[in-house]
Amino acid sequence: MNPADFQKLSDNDVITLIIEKGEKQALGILYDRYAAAIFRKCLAMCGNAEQAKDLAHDVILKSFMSLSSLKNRDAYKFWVNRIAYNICIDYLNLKKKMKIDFLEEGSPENVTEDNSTREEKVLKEMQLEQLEILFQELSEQDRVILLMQYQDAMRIEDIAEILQIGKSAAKMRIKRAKERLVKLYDELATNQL
Amino acid sequence: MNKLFEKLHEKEELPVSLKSEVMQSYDMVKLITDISDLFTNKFFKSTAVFLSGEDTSEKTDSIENDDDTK
Repeated sequence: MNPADFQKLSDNDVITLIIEKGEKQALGILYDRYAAAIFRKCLAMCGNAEQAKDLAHDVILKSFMSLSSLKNRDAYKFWVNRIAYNICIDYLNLKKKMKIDFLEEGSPENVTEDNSTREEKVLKEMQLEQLEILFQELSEQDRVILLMQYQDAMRIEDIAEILQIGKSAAKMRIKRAKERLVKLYDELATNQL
Repeated sequence: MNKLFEKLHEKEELPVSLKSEVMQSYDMVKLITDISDLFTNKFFKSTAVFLSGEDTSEKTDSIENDDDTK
């Protein structure tokens, strides 16, 4: 099969070729489709290009080595994203840190749906350049949860599962991260005046 | 909002060397895994043969075949 034919295949077909026929060339197709997005996600989480490269290497390699365990082969994109979050969180040692922060922030029991309309409004008005600057200022755990919520539109259940916290705690974490992002935005706007 | 986050760091170039590094690591890990599987399979096979009592391996040290005893 020539490279042009590979490009037309679905993720399901590509992965089937790798697993059942040992087509190593097909691994390159998966790489070409998703490596850049994975690298950028790792970069957004860790904030360092060299480290992001190492993390992306580990994420892609782990996905390649575990392909046979993927049940829904068309869901490779979501699956590899999940691996990326797990590996980056492990690297940032966030699991432990987030639990500590969560205790410091008080009980999440009364957290309901997020109605912070001002934050949403500010986020809609924000420019890409501003977001990139502000992202560097945010803590690692805030970056991770905002990426989960806004870049990957993950369900609260999935965010909670990856972070090993409850759903209410996940909602609270998103709310707080958003508040901190908007606060930084306000500070940036004030400084620019 | 999602689109803004999707574009985050979009100007950052993917390091060119990453692909070859991933493929090299894949080959290395695959080789190690295959060797490990081979040893594991051999071990289980020989254990199964031993437990079944059907050891068909050639006897090389039997007294009958030893010419030095004559």
